[in-house]
Order: sequence, then structure tokens, then C-alpha cells
Amino acid sequence: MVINKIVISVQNISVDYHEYTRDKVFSFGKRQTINALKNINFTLEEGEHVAIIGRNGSGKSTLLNCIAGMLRPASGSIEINGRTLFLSGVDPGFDSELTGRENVRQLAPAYGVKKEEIEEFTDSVKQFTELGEAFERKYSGYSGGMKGKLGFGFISDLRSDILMIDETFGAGDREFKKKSKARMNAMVSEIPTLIMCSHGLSLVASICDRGLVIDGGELVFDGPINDAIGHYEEITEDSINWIEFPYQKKYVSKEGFDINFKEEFRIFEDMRIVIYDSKLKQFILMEEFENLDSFNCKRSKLPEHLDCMFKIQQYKDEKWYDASRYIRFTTEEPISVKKIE
Amino acid sequence: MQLKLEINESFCKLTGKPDDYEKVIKRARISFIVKSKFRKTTKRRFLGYLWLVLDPFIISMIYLFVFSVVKSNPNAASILVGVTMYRVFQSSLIKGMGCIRDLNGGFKAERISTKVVISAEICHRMIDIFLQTILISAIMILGFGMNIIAGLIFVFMAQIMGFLFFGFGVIISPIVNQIPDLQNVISYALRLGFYVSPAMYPMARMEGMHYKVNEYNPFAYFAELARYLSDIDSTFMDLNLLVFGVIVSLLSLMTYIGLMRIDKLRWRMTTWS
Repeated sequence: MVINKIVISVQNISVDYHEYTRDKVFSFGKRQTINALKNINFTLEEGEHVAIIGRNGSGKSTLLNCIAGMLRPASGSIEINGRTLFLSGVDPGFDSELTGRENVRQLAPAYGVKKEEIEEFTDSVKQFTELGEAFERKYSGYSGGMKGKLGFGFISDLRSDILMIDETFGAGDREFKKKSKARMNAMVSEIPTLIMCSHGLSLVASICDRGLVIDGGELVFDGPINDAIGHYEEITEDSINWIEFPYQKKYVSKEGFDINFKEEFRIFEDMRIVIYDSKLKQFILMEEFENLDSFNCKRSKLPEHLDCMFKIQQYKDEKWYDASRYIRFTTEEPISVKKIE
Repeated sequence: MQLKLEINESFCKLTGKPDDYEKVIKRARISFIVKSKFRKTTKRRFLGYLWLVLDPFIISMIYLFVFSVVKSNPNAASILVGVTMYRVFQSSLIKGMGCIRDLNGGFKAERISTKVVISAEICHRMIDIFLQTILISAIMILGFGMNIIAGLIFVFMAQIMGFLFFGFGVIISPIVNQIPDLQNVISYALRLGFYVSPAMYPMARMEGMHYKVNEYNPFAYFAELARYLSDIDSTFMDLNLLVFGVIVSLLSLMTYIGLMRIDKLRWRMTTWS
């Protein structure tokens, strides 16, 4: 049995935030303590890729920030063996008065890039970010997306023993997001140890092998990633908010059926199909997609009796929304698809 | 070299003997923080870093005009020395009070040790004080016939005074952070102090209670000593040197304690808002 070195050891960590609040205009105010994390215990071995999942406000970012040494615990201790890099947002500390190039050149040595490697590093960042002439312009003049591109390009080129990621995928246009995800996958495969938190369950399932579920500041599950995702889905309820629907019935041939997400629903990012299970009497996940224009479902994947409903949902603003009304499968004549105006 | 980060409620520290490359990274971080601080004060200005030298000079010239021409006070050298010393005292105290709010030196992807952040702050203070005093010192030497050695001692003394009051600021920073209203009080006190202390005029021009109160004003001793060394109208030798000794000792002790505690104070601030 191979025993890997323990790189992160978290022992009974609790974190409290302290706020100063004032109810009335002329009052001395009072100090309020918020328990963000309670008695978190786990260890991470070298080579493990762990995901921290949980609802908004459950304490995921607090835990990561605490492990990174950015937040003081109220009690407990953490030991980390090795150099860590913490990706939270896309700004590693750029100076708004410097150009993109100057920022990269000046900040790189502070993050461990050797003097003889700075030029190569800078060129690599410029190439990846595709900022072009904007790379020579002041950082303060960048749009949010450009700042995100530069930040991500810089951070993802750095190296460390342990990588901690706190949902750093938001920046840039669709093409850049694709590129970022590809680089993140490559980065993750090179890094010995990874701990990340994200709301993208399909993403964490593809990258991580172990999952920690945080709920209400407590560690409620620690185990294989798929089991962790299952546990998380059990404790959370999907928020159903109506958007729009193109039709009520979907024709299913002997082979199956096709959906063109772009044409029929005008969406192609972060979607899933949920199908109604009459035994469980609830919608269950059938398939999750990322950046897919169309989908073909074979007949064999569907229930035998086609008297069932399905919905297409889209992930937006950290919630799942219905992108279609409940659609019934039918073997009747196919109806014309109404294009959304 | 295997780094190990240990975190608990009392401290967050990196252990293990750093190799040479770690020292290079540390220096690079200090350099980045110091440059960032100076860039923030001179951004978008055409004259850029030149303002670090011009600003204290122009302010001194304004007060010189007010109190030489308007108030017919011919002692221009005394004003230059006093106003410059007060600026150094004020900026050092304010920086000291605010230093625990600088939680990571501007870096966001890696925890930066308190040593690096404080080293950068001290380095920045030293350069800033030097720039504030060097032009004034040059004017004193060339314009008012001050001895070159005295001019250099003036610059050096401003550094010492700045460092001590920076340390004092660090010691009182937790109270100021817990009771933000104190920032207003201190701001008023500093404004009043500019007129009450021997900044614009020497203590020789003070009488009665005004003089007596300033006998216990730490700044007064440094200002009068600076005037004495510049061979300007000064009552430094008439002041109680024992009190001066006690003041310097106390400030030194507070500075030492403040710098020793700053890591703990900074660590505590991470969960306060």
C-alpha cells in the first residue's frame, strides 16, 4: 500500500467573522460575530484532487481562504507542506498604473518566476491572453473581461506544489472561456495536489476524485466525488424559475430524438436535461452539457412508456432555471418547431 | 527546501530554512510593494516621482511666505525645519496607525509574510522621509549657510523620528481600528498640534502654559533638536534632557513592542470588518 505524504492537515478549524453594526443613526453600535465554519477536519494527501462543494454562503470560500493563510481561524490549526498558489478571482495584485506587460514583468518575480525566465513568461502570457496591442496599454484602461484574461493568463502560468482554486472561470468571451478551461485542465494535471471549489458540478466531477460537502459551515460529507455530488444534490433544492418554452410535445422516433439548443432554445451553455421519474415522483438528472449546440438522445435511454415529461434547464447566476416548460414525449406526428423570436 | 505553513488562531507562519531563491522572491516582493506605494501617490501626474520632493518643499514655501511676509517673521530657516519635521511626524504616525490594515501587501494569490509587508513599509517610509527632507536640507545648506554635516544630521534625525512615531502609530493602531471615531480625534489633534507645537515657530516664542505644555510634547524635542543642530534659534539646551531621554526610551520601547506585535495584530484583522 502506498502511503502518500499528507500535504494539508486541517484540525478542528472554526472561523468567526466580526462585524461592527449600527442600528440607529446616533448609537454606539455593537460588534457582531458570525460563525462561518465549525470544527472542520480533514487531511489531504499528495496527489489528491479535492473539490469543496456547497451552497452559496455555506463556507467554501472561507475554508479555502483559511487554508491559504488569508483568514484567521477562531480555533483549530492547519498545516500545509509545500508552496501554495491561491486562485481567487483573476487579479493577483496588478497595479492599475502599469501596462499589462509591465505588470507581468514586475509581479512575476514576486511569485517565484526566475529572472532568466521572465521574458519567456511574459511572452507566454501575452500569447495566451491574445490581448494584442492592449498588452502595452495601462491596466486601468482594461475592460473587466480583459482584466480577467490577463489575470488568468498570468496566474495559470505560475507553478506551485499545491493549487487552490476558488471559482476562477468567469472572465472573457466564450472562446476565451473554452481556452481557460482547457488550460485549467492541463494545469490541474500537472499540479500534484489540488483543492478547488466551484458550483460547476460537471467540472469538478471531471477534475477531482474526492469531494467535501460544506453546509451551514459544517463538513457534512467527505468521500468520492460522485457520492459527494449526490449528497450535495440531496441537500439542495433546485430553484425553478420560469423562462420560456418553445413547444409542449417532442416527437420521439424509433431511433430517438434531437434537440437543437441554439435553434430551439437559444442557449448552448451549461444546460441539463431532467426527466420525470414517476416512481420517485420527481425530476432527476438525465444529462448535463457544456457548450453544446445540439443533442441526440437514443430511444434506449428513455423510459419504456413514453408518457413522461422532461425539461431543459440552464445554469445561470448560480441556480438552475427552467429553459423549457414540461415537455411530453410523443410518438405522434412531429410538430413544427417554433423558432424563438 | 520544503516550506511548511502553520496556521492557528495565534499566528500564520512559514517555517523551514529558506534557500537563496526564497530570499530573492522576498526581495522582489518588498520591491514590488514599495514601488506600488510610490506609484499610488504620483499616478497620472506629469512630473511623476518629482512630486515626492517638490510637495514638501512647496508646502514649506507656502508657510514660509505666510509667516515671513504676512506675519513678518524673518526666521525662514526655523519655519522650514519645523514644518518639515512636523510633516514627517504626521505622515509617520498616520502610516503606523494604518499599517495593520494592509493585510497582504496587495498580493492576492499567495500569503505574504508580515516580515515582507513590514519591511516594505519601513523601506517605503525611509525613502519617503529622505525625499521629504533632502531638498529642504539642500536649501538650508545652500541658502541659509547650514553646515553640511548639520544638514545630513537633520535628514538622519528625521528618519529616526519618523521610525519612532511610526512604531507609536503601530502600538495605537488596534485601538484606532476598534474605535474608528478616534481617527477623527487624532486628525483634529494633529491639525491643532501643527499650530500649538513648535512647527512654525521655535519654543523661544512660547510663553507661560503654552511653553509648559510643550515641555512634555515629544515632537517639540525633535523639532528643537533639529533647530539646534541647524544653528537656528532653539531652546533645546534649556529643555529637560531627562524628559527627552524618557520620551525617546518610551517611543523606542513602543516601537519595538509594536513591531513584535504587528503580526498578531495583522492576523487578527483578517476576520474583522
